[in-house]
Amino acid sequence: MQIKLTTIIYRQSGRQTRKVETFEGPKLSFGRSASNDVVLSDRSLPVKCFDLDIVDGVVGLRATDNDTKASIDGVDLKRPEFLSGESQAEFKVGQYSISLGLSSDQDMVLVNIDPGGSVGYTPRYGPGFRVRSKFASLLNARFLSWAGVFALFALFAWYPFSSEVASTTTLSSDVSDQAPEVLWASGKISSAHHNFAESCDQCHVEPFESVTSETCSNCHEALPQHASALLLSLSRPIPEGLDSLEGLAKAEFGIEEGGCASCHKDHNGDEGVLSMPDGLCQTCHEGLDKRLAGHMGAVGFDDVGAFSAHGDFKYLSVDRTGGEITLVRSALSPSKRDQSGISFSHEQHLAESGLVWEMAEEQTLTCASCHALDVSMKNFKPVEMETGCGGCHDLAWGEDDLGQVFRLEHNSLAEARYVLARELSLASLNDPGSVRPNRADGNRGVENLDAKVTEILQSKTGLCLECHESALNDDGTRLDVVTISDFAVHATFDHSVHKLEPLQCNSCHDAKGSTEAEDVLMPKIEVCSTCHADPGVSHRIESDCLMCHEYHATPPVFPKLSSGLDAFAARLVLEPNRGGNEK
Amino acid sequence: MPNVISQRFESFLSFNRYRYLWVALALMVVAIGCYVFAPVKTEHNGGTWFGYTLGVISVGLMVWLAALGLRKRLIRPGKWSQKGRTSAHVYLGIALALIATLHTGFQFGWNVHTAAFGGMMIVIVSGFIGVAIYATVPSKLSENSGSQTFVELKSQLDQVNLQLDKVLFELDGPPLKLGERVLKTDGVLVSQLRALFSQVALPVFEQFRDSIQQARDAGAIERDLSLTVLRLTQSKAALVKRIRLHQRYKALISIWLAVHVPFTFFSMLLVGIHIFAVFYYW
Repeated sequence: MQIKLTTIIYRQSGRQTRKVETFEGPKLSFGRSASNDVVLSDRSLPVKCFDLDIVDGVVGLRATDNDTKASIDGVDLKRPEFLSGESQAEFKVGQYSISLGLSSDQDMVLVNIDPGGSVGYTPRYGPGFRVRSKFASLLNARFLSWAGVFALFALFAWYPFSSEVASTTTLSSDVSDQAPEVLWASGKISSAHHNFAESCDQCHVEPFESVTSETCSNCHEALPQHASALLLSLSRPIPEGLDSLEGLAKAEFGIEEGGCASCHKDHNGDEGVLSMPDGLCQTCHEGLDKRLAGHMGAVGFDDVGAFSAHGDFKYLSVDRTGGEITLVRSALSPSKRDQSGISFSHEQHLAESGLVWEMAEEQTLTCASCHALDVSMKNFKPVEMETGCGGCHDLAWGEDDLGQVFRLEHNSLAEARYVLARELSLASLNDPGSVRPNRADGNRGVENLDAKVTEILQSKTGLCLECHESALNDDGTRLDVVTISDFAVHATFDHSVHKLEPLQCNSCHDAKGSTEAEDVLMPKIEVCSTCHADPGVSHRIESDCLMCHEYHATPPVFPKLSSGLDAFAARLVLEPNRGGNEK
Repeated sequence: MPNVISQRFESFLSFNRYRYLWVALALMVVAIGCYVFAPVKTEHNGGTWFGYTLGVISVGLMVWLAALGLRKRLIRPGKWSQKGRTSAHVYLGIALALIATLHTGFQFGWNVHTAAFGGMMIVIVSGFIGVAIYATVPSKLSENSGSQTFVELKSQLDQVNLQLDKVLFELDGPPLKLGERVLKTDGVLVSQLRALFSQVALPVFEQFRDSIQQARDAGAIERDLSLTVLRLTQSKAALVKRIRLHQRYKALISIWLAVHVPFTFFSMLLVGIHIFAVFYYW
């Protein structure tokens, strides 16, 4: 029995044609593989799909693929079923519609295959690689350059500049909360100026112009001049070589020389606005004696290039030579006496036995018994008579029969005389027998009151002269006491930072060996140099000029003391206006 | 052949008996010497006369170094050597790193000034990597692809894929599943990422080959078919390996260029803003 296979072919033009093939039976295989008699080009179908079998003149279908279990339009491919007696059968396999039938003379099996559309191999994957993929185009250097340049320009140029132009003068108290201009700042602004962090134009007044001293002085008014303009100009060395070029360039670009910005630079973060490099002082102070020949007396100090070259310290002291009271600033020497007019022995007061020791309830006094740091914690408060000495040295001038002690307050001599005269005369009026002055004879009348007052106060054993032995002036009307609070007028010293073990007061001040108040108990520079040295010296504290000296300090003016000295003890505090007047 | 190539690629470093290495070293020694001994009154920073000098030298060097990209495109007669220019580019770039660092006075912060410095340093550091890449990758690239271009390799692969796809019509079961995977081993993005980050050897090819051999031994497929499949698989494996290596080498250069070139422009922009900002807020 022959098999006639008719396949409909769908042309691309849309036309349908038929391909008719005739096979000699009895078997025809169907499947995806090219090894089949009939190729069903459908990827969903198995390689071998089914066989058409003719056995003893009976046409049947038999599944050849074990995986194909499903029945096809009622024809069970699992169990072969022959189409005996049936003249026609139709079923679908994949996209194919297949119909079976017998010719009219029962001599030929007719198989019609309709693929339902064009079939054949179509590649599923297009060209595998693109020569330039999307991934590769992302790596395009030109694209990245443009994108980044726009982004960075927006962030670093447009954003800060637009906000700078639109900036207001609103002040922020939070340093970290700074305007975007901070992206242009060369560093974090100092805490002193942090209020201007958001308004650059407070200092940078004009674009492309450097900050001027005039702008600084808007706030920093009337800072003391380091020296007169003449002296400063004479002190500066004449620039040579590169320095002169630098000067020319600065002049060309309108940058002032010797202004605030010479020493002060902001935007150094926590380092502050003082950018004082090593050796800036030396620019003028080295070789100063040559440039200021003839003026050095007015300057008052020697040519100093470094700590190691520093001469002996010069301390202030009171001099009473020839009855004139003058202030002397000179180096320590055996002949240098501080004639304040007070009698006092440090040795006696610090002794571990004796009168003072007994009075202090058999305890040794220490420095702190009389001397206390002031609020700045840098210097000591002046010793007050009442609080410092009064514990032992009260001004008791008499007592009455009931044992009541009469005391004077520590006051000017004139005042003390007045008070004492009044008390004495009042006492004699009320009860002539009651008050007994300690330091006068037994005459209790009001006669010779003046002499009696003088005797009580100013006699050799009088109340005042116990301490103010040499302070009485010639005519006996005044006690010319002059005490100095600040012995080193050109320098500062911070006692609080020197409270370090094993440093004690006597490491610098030899009080225990001092029997007279006239001894100047200040240390020599050698004492300092046990710890301090020039910058760069190892294992020492690097000490530059500014550690002890202020730049913005006016030189002190010494008052004329011999005339106009108060009758009361004068405490001489020479304040060289340290730090200046700042708003 | 590889020796000749590597010699040629080495030679820009040793150009003219390391002339530009010596020039750069001299420049660096002078810069360090001046930094240490220059009579600068304040601490070193960009704002001293010495700082300005270093800054001007730095910006000049930056522009000149960046101009390598322009110079190599301006091919015209005259007495100049691209190799010499590249040699100078490398060594003076190293000198720039030092000079610009001295210009900063080691003052850094979160601002445009340090950003400009950082951008420039990224360019210079990436330059070191670039020297390493350009000294090795081009020779490997030509070794890998031989005389064929990438487009030729790709078209060969397309042909193999087409045949493989047709052959898959004849396969069933596990070989078909593995075959489908073998066919797909050339996706665009995934393949490129794999080329960069994973190994080139492909285990699926081995598995596919094994499954074909098993099927043949079991009599499931004919010998001729199995030979065809094995031949196609082998061709595809070799082609994929070569293409992936090619992509890896190309990507190395692309990525390097995508850092070195854009950051060149970034740092030049930032240096421009840096200069403007410095003088705006003088």
